Amino acid sequence: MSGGKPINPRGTKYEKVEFPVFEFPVVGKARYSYTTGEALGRFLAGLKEGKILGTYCAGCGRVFVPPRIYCSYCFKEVDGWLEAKDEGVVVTAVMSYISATRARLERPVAVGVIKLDVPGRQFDDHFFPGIMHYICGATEDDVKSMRIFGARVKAKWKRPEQRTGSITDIECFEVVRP
Amino acid sequence: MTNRNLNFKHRVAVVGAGLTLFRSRMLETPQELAWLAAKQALDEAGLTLKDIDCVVIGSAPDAFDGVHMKGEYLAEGAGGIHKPTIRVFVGGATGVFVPIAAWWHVASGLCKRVLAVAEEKMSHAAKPHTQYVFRYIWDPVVEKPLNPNLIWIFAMEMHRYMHKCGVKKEDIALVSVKNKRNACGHPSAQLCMPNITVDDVLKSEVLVWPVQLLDISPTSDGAAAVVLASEEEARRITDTPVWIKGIGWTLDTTHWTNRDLAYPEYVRRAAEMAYRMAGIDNPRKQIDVAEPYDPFDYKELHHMEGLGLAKKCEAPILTREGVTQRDGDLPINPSGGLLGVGNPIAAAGLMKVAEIFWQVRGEAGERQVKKPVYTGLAQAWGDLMQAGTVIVMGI
Amino acid sequence: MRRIKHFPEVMEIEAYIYTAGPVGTKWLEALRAGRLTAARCPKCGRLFMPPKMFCPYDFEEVKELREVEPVGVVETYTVVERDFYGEPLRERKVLAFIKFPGVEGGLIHYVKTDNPQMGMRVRPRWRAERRGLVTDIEYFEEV
Repeated sequence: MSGGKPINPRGTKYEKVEFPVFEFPVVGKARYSYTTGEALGRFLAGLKEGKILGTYCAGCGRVFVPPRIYCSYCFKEVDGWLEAKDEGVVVTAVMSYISATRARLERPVAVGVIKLDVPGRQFDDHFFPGIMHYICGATEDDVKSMRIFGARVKAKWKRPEQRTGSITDIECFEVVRP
Repeated sequence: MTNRNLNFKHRVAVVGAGLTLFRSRMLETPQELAWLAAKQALDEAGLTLKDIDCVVIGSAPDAFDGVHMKGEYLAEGAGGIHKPTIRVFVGGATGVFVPIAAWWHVASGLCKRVLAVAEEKMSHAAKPHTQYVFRYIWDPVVEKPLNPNLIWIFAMEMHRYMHKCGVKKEDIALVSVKNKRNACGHPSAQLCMPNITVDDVLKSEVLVWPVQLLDISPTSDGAAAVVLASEEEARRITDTPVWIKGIGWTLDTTHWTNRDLAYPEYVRRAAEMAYRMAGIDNPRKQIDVAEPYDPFDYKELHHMEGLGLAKKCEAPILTREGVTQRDGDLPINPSGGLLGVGNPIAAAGLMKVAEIFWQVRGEAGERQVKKPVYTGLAQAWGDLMQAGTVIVMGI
Repeated sequence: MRRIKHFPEVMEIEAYIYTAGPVGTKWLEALRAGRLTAARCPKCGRLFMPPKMFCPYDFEEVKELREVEPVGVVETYTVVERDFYGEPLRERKVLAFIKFPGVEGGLIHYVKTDNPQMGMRVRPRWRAERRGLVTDIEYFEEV
C-alpha cells in the first residue's frame, strides 16, 4: 500500500528581508473602546461596592458569574440577580513566567479559575460560577505540585476609595490558610 | 445511502489534495499560497478550474494576514472568481470546517465539484510578534484588564486535565516527541526534529507552567486544498475516491471559566454527530488512523478522549504504550501534526484532512501507517476553547 | 443619565510586513529600476498588473514579466478634498485608476493635474530615490 505519488509542496521561505516589502505601521491607528453592556455594567458596579454579583436562571438553576442578561441554555431572560461570596475554591491554576507581551517576568505570577461559593447552592464540575484571577499567597511549588487545586481562596479587595468598578478592584484571590 | 437522522442527496468523496510548504515566513502572498495548494489539488484530481462549480475558503482571523475580508481577497487564488464562493471561519477549527462546508455544497446537490482551500499567513503580523493578534480573544471587560497572555488559558486547561487524570508532564511530552519525529516524513514540515527527546521538551523554556516552549506548535505560513465531488463525478474522476462518511461540528460557550476544562465536550458532541452519520459505534475499533488537533501536545490527548478514541484519562497511557505511533494499533497524527508540520491555522486543520485522504489511499509514502486503513478521522478545535469540527473519511 | 464605562484598547500589532510574492517582488524591483512591467500568462497570454504568480482565469503559473510602455489612460478618477480626519487638504489630490493598453488591471495612483479627464493619457513621474514600492512613482502627469 505504501509508495504512491509523492506530494511536492511548494513555497519560498525566507529568513531575512532582502527584497522590497511593504511595512505598514499600525500603532495608534486601531483604538477600541469597549462598553460593558448591561449585565457586566452592574457586575462592575457591584465590585466597586465589594460585592460579586451574578444572575440566575430559574428554569435550569444555572448561576452566571460573570453575569449575563440571558440564559443561553434555556434561551430566555435570566430571572434575577444574586450575590456570590467573595471566596471559593481553585479549579485550576498556572504559574506565568511571561507577561502579556511575552517578556520574561521578574517574578512569576499565579493565575487561575476560582469557583465561587453561592450560599444555598451547590455546583458540579460541569457548570459553575467562576472567574479568572490572580492567586496570591501560593508558591511556585504549590502550583507545580498541584496542591493549589481545590484550595480555598478569598478575594483581596482594594480599599474602597481605590476601586474603579473593574475586575482589578479585586487585587487577587488569596489562599486561606486554615 | 442509509439515512441516519440526516437527509442528503449525494454521497461525497475527496478526489484530490494539495499543500504548500509550511514555514515561519514565506515570500508568496496569501493569494499565491492559496493558489499553490489549490492548483496542486486540482492537478492531483486531474481537473482544471473549469471543472469546479463552487469554492469554499477557510481562514482564521483577518488580523494575521493583515487583510480585511480575507475570504474575498483569497477568492482569486482559491479559484473563486465568477463562481459561488464562501468563506467559513470557526477559529482554529476552521481547517476541518472547510471540507464540512464543501460537503454540504455537494451533498445537497447544489454543486458537483467543489474546491476547498484554507490559507494562513501569520508572518505578516510581524511586529512585535504574531501572538499579539490572539489578545483579542479575551473578554475585554472582565479578562483583559488582568493583562493575560494567551497561553494562560491553555496552561489552565492542561493543568486541570493533568490534575483530574493524574497525568505527568513526561507523559504529555511524549506527544510532542512523537509528532516532531513523525514530521520528518512530511514534505511540508517546518519542525522535523528526528532526535528530540522527552528531556528536551521538559528542559525547554517554561512559559506558563505547565506549558513549555516545545509543548507548543510554531506560527506558520501555508495553505492546503482538497477537491470534493459527488459520487457520480468522483467515480468518473478517480478509481480511488475517499468517501466522506461523517461530519460533525459544535460550539460550546465562550464563558470558559464556567465550565469543565478537563474534558472537551465540544469535541465529544461533534464526534457523536459525525459517528452517527458514519455508522460508527465503537470508534476505538472502527477508526484506523486519526489526526486530532494538536496545537499543544496535551490537546492531542484531550481530543483523543473527546473523540472516544480513548477513555477519559486513558490517552496518556495509550501514548506511553506506543499505541499511537505510526506502527501502533491506533496511529495518531502520523503526519507530524501541528507540532511537527506547523500551524498555519486554517491550513493546518485542512492538512490533517489531506493526510487522512492520503492514508486511506495508501499514498502517504514513508508516513503510511503500518495497519491497513479503511477509515480515518481528522478533527480541529478553535475559538475560545469551544469549537469542535470532525470529519470521518474512508474507502 | 448613567455614566457609560469604556474599556479602551489599542491594537498591539506595531506593524504588518507584506511581501509581494516571487513575481510581485520582481515587479517591485523593476519599479525600483524605473521600469513598468506586467506579468504574462503563458497559456492565455493575458498581461496582468499588478502581477501575481498565477493567472486567475486558467490557474496557470505565471513567471514572466514584460515591460509595458509607461503611458496609461485614466479609466476613472476621484478628487480628494479632505484627509482621514475630515480636515480640508491644503491641496486637492486627484486619485485615478490608470489602465495600460493590453494589460488587465492597472494602477491606482495620484495624477497631478488641474483638469482631470477620463481618457486622459498620463505617464509616471519617477522619484529619484526608489525603494521598490508603488510610491517609487511620485505621481502620474499628463502626456
